[in-house]
Amino acid sequence: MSEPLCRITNLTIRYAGHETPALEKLTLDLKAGERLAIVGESGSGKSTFVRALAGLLPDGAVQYGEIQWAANESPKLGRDLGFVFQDTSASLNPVLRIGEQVAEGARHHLGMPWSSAYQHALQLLEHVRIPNAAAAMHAYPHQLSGGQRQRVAIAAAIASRPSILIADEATSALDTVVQAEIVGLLDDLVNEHAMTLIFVTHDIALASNLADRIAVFKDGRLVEIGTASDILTDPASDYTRSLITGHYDLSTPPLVTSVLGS
Amino acid sequence: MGTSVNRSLRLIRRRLLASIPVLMIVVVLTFLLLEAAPGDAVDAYLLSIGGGDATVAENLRRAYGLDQSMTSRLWLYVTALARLDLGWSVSFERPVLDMIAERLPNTLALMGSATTLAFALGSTLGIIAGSKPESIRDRMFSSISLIFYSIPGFWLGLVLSLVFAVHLRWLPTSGIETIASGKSGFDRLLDIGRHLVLPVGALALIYTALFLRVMRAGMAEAWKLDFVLFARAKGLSRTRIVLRHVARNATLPLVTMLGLQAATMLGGSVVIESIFAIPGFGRLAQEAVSGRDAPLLMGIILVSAVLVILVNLLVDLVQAALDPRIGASEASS
Amino acid sequence: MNLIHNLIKKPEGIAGIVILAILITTGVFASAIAPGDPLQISGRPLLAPFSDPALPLGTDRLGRDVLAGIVHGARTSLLVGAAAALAAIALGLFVGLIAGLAGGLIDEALMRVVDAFQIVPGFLLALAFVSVMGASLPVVVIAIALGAWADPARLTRAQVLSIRERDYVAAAKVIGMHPMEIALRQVLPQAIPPVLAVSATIVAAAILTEAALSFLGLGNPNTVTWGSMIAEGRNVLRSSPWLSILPGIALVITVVGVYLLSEGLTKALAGTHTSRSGGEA
Repeated sequence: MSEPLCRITNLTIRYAGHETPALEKLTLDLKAGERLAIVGESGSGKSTFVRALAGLLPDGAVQYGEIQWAANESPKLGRDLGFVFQDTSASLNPVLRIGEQVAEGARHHLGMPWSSAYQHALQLLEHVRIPNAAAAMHAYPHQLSGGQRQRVAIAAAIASRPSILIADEATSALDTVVQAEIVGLLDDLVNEHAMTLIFVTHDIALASNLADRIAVFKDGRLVEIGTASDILTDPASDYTRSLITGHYDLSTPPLVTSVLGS
Repeated sequence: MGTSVNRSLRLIRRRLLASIPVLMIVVVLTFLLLEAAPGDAVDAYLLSIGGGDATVAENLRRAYGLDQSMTSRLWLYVTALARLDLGWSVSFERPVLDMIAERLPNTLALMGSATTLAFALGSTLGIIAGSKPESIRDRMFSSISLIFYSIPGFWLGLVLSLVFAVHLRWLPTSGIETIASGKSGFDRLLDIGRHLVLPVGALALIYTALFLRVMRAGMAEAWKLDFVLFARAKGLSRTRIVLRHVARNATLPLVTMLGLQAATMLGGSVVIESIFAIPGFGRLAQEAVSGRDAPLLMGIILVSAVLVILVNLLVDLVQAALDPRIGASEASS
Repeated sequence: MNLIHNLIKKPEGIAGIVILAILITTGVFASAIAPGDPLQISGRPLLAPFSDPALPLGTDRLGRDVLAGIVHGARTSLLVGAAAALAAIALGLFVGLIAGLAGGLIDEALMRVVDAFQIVPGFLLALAFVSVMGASLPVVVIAIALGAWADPARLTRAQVLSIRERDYVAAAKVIGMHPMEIALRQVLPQAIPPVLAVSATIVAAAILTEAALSFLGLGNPNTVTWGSMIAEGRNVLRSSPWLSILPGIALVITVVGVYLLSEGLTKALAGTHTSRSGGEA
């Protein structure tokens, strides 16, 4: 058993001005190179958890418990850890060109001069399969579609070649066709660069597609955590069971064949 | 994607087209005010030549078409304006347009310098204050700028004049240049510059306060926007986030404010120029009032309206340059 | 009541209220504090401040009491400021309401008129109006209001445009409420708050405009105003600067008070809204 990438112990987080904690006594381990899905409804604390991991909690939020990283220092935002948000139109600065927004991370963390950073950005845009990447470099965010903006956000997040990628509901604001494309893109990227992927979603079907392990959150607490197949074939809690059955629809093509085959 | 030149031309055309009906309303307004003034141009003329009897007055009126109905007089006025004839200044005995053309450059120099200075200073201080909203530094800047913004321009001018011109004698008290100095070229420019320091300073102090407040308010709002969170998630340096992301977006409301303030600033030139005896456009308005020179005053109002329209046009273009989203929906793909 | 409660909690609110309360009391009780006509001669001319306890702020060129002038001037400034702002807001609300509700050509026409009043510098307009109509208190109030009504009109119209799309207005129409009643009872009350938010700025601007007009000799000639005092003091600026400085300080304090109250009000209003909506969604 290798050393966990990160050990979270009894993590409790309360936002400023709120009585009830958003996250309560969370204990779990992160394994290096794994794909972990955090599944739950809105308000379950999943976003709070990943933001705490990244150090992006808002001012005034109180944090108890421990987040212990194997490397003994928390990953540096942008360089070791990339973060992709849900709302594509808001993630990108509307008055700056795409090229600059993708390149600035690389320039800052990798110490590149602007010319190399722009080259790097162009390659990244091609990597995330933006059509006509050279033209896109000079475009502004409002000129791209939602799916394309999310690709740009992903490109910007991995610009400095981080080893960890966190996606917080990265596909929830997109329509299903685009969603599948983005999920496919994430899958390929994570494979290619051997990144640890932690992604937050309310869609357990999506989680089953992409994840090695699934953690189920409810009301700020961890309900259960296990490998994807374990969770889906033999969920320990009724809540998880209800999440899974909620997805059953005869018109939905089977996503996990082992369940139907058993 | 439309080119930026196309976008600019579209904006110019849209602004100019929208301004035509507005300008016409201003013309009607000024005409009505002119009508409301007791006596007309003939009365004023007769007064200046020491009186005249009723027949002389009547003849003059008929000759100039001033005895016609109000609508025909309005028509006369409008057609004259179309010929760029703004009327005759009774107090200066020269065409109104000439007077204005002579005085306007001084005011433009005054306002231009003050605005540029205030913009540079105000936005810089506003960025510094807004880089950490609600910090002590921010609150301090906020309070001090509130006080300065509450100071009447003419009083500030007076106080500055008292301190620097009267007591310290570093700077001249009035005028735009030393009379009959015989200076030319660079020396003359320097002389004018010395004379403009106090009036520009008074105006600039007040406008710096305003621009500071708008910039810091814009920064406070911009900090809350989501792309700032994304910029933080990219681990960018604080300086870059403050300048390239937050401030860059906060500049937009500041530029909008410039456009909104153009008319007010032009009005403010009246008292400042009066105090420092600057022979400018604003002072001309004050002289028109004391000289009971209605045509001159109305001509000044019309020209002000045109100036404000031009400034707003400029602001439109700058806004379009700063914000790529403006005018984008009208672009043909 | 909630609003007042919130207002007092903020430092801006308290400071603003205190300053304005002092000023308003001074203005209202001006005759009691400094009895007699401030335009009357009270003593030796050009007496320095703090030299004579009966004339604590000295006298001007003609021997008139400076303190009396400042106290009575407070009354004029506040009166004109409030009246002009009220007139401007009332006219703006009226025009904005009609434009927003009528729509179409009427809306377009009215908005062009509003544009016209926004393009002409307010001070120049006031100058022209007073010089044409003659300087008197009502004329000065109207002159200032003419330059100030355009912003509230635009604000009101924007509010009305958004309000008329709301469900409760549609519901009122379905019931068959008379359009006038809808306008006055459903739309107008919702349109007022944002206009109130800028009302303090209008009052402050009105006070400063009145002072500038008085300074140029276009104010009400029958009363003492701070502007006219500053203008008077210009003649003896070198030897007796306090004559111009003191009224100016009074102006600054007044305007600061108005702005502080307005900032306090804005924050208090924002506070009442969020507490009513019950926190984050």
